[in-house]
Amino acid sequence: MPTLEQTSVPAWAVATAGMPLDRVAARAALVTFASDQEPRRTWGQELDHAGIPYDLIDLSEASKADIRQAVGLLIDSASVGFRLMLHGPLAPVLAARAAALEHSLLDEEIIVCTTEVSEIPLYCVHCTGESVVRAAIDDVVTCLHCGTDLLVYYHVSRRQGSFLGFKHDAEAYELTGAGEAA
Amino acid sequence: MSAPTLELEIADITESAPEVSTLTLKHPEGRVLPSFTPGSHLVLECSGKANAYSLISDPVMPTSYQISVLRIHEGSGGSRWLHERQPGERLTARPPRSAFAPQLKARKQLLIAGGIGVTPIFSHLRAAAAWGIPVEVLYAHRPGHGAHCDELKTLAPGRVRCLDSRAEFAAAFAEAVIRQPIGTHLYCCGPEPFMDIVVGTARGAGWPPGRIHTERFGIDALDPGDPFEVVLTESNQKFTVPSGISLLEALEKKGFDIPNLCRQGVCGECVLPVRTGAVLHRDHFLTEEEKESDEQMMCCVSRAREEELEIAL
Amino acid sequence: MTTTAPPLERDLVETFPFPFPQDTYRYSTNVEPAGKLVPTPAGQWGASMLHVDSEYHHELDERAAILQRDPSRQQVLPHMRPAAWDAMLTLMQELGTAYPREFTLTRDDDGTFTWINRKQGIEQRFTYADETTLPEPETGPLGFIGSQVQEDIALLDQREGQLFVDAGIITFAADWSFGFDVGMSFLEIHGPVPRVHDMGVIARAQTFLMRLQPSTPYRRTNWTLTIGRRLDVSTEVYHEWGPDRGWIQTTDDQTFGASVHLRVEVQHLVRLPDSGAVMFLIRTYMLPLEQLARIEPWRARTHAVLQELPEDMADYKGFISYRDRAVAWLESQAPSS
Ligand code: HEM
Ligand code: FES
Repeated sequence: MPTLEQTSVPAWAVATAGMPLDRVAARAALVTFASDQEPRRTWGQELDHAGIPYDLIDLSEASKADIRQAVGLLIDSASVGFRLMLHGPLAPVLAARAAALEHSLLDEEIIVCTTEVSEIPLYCVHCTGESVVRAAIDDVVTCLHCGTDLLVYYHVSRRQGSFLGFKHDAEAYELTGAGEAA
Repeated sequence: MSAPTLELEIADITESAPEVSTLTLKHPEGRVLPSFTPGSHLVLECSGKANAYSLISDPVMPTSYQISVLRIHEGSGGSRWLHERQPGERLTARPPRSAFAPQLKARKQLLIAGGIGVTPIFSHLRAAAAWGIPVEVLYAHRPGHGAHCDELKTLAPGRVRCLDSRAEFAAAFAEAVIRQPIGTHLYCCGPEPFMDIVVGTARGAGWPPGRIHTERFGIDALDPGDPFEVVLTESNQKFTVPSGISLLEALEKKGFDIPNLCRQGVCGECVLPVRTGAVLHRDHFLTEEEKESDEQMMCCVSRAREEELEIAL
Repeated sequence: MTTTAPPLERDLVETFPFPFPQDTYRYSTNVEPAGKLVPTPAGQWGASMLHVDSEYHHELDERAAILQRDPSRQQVLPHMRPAAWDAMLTLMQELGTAYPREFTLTRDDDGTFTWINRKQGIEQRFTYADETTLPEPETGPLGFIGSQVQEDIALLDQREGQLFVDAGIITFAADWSFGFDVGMSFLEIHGPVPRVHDMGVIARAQTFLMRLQPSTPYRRTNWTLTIGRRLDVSTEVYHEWGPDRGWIQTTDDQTFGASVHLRVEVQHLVRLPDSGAVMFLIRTYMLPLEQLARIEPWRARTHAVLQELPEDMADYKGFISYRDRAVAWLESQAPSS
């Protein structure tokens, strides 16, 4: 495995981390998925110091579909100069980032702070279902949709907002088994 | 390295504004010309010099190219020479080059032109209109010198403002820059100080660099470089590499079989060991440290910094 | 049980793009100008960007079947619509130039185009940028042209100082998932590849691609081993082809030689002129070792390369478990001196 900086896995997806504020921003929305982690005390204060007006939006309880929709609406009514700040556990942060990119934000307009990375969204490449599971890279976990045992691979899709998972023992061949070359 | 050239015939010349000539160029046999990306320029050979002009015409499988040329009194004389051409005469061009492309992801385009910088903006506006992308155009020009103003307005009715005073432009831009829907990209072409002000104002309004695009005129292809002497220490030869010919090409002409692939300075195949001499490294292959040590060079693009290079070949 | 390969059409050997210039193989930014004809001991390849061969109908039927089962193999993110049109027109012009008897594109006086594909009996009049003038407006220009060229197609958007893989029709992926990868940046998509990042191969490739101009297309080759003539070895169906890698170790020599294929991708890199997007074409060729070994320079070279290839590369390419067997098999086919 190459070092993760050279992959599609963001640093803030494997360890909790925050990116620095962009001080030239004209406005911001601080979207939190962890209101119990006091986003106003951390980022809120920084924004106040920098004199950047912001709205605090609490989506702590929202579903993935609701997150995508809410973030989309928020962006569509914004003007250039706006920054989106995402604060909370990895799974909703990745979902919100995916929605933001779809709604034409640039990477430099999205500022991320993860508060928890032990639960990851995992995409099953065989059934396309997504499972949010307690796991890390190289673990094997069961797809909640099709039951396949998936290897968690060091590849993250910005658009799907999830890690790649594929059948971990696909190369096992039993003499009675299927899978003879055509 | 050297892209194939195009022979073009001047089909028409019109005056778009005082001192601005619009030339229509066609293939001498009327063939379809290469398509180009909006914002592309054509490099024309003008009495021994190469000048770049933005294409303003329809970009998809066109049967003609149009450029608008401002007569510049000082300068290298390329524009003056072009202003003296007549329909029916032929020009040599290199195929269109793109370095100011529209952003496909733009939800809206804010197009800012200063003076003759209107030419690539014209081409962006044409593309935005063709693909149904919302636009807003601010065009600053001297009174009476608004080349193509009417055509811009026809392409995007109600979305184009042609402003002939600095103060008017500054006020209009300051107001526009803070109310653009997210997803807008800003494109600016004009004199350097004009672009500096536009970029500075947008940055001040919180625009990230990725939404700001400027066209700085210049030919971004590698320049032909100065001639230099090469001494081959193993085979005891000495010769001159003329301007416009790469060391690789020169060696091939002498019968050397140098491994090569990309001829662009990226693959690393054509590396040569340098004995003495300072190298003008123009490749993307060697690391900065390797470049500083001057022990090797990529002969498809790099040249001598001084008069002579000694190569162990 | 012993498997023998069905006989191959001659052209598949004659135009096989044998990928090894040396006895050792390492990753590099191995790009060269497109269109240069390469002679080989069996024939030649490389005269044109698109290549139509005796597998044309077979491969396009296969692509259609794969798309039917799994539509995620074809995607055009909304902003890539102009790039898809541009790709279609560029590919039509290419086909018309390379195979004028089979394909023609003409521009009519009213600005519409007429496209003729005699191999498939298609005659279609269309207006650029108007999906309703294509036979299937939903799949758009990329779907239309994708059903007429054997190449897989990816389209990359250049923005924010990078390239992003934002559209494509990829049915013959070698161990990756287009549906998962679509939208990734060039650096992200190459994340899984070992070595290349430290070597700067991918960063250099991106610098190069971002400066690519429409008048000068480039190409490169890539390769691996595949078991069976299976074009679709995508991650989506890994559970279907993965077991072959276990099975092959249990086969007899004849079956081994007939089943293991040298799989070569000829990849073209093209700046699309109108949209400014980068088009990446991947054409997949497969030759069973059995056939390859009949051409001695190919056998010897492949043997040398496979034997010397570092572990991490053989592992990434997916044949670490039968590499030694392949080396031994190729060795056993050496002409007795
Ligand atoms: C000059 C350009 C390029 C270079 C030098 C390059 C290089 C490479 C190399 C060395 C590999 C490993 C292959 C192996 O060992 O089998 C690779 C894999 C790959 N390349 Fe590229 N590549 C280029 C362009 C592209 C483009 C334009 C795409 C766009 C789709 C692309 C997509 C991929 C993918 C999806 C993989 C597989 C990654 C995985 O394992 O998931 N490459 N490339
Ligand atoms: S030929 Fe590729 S670096 Fe010179």
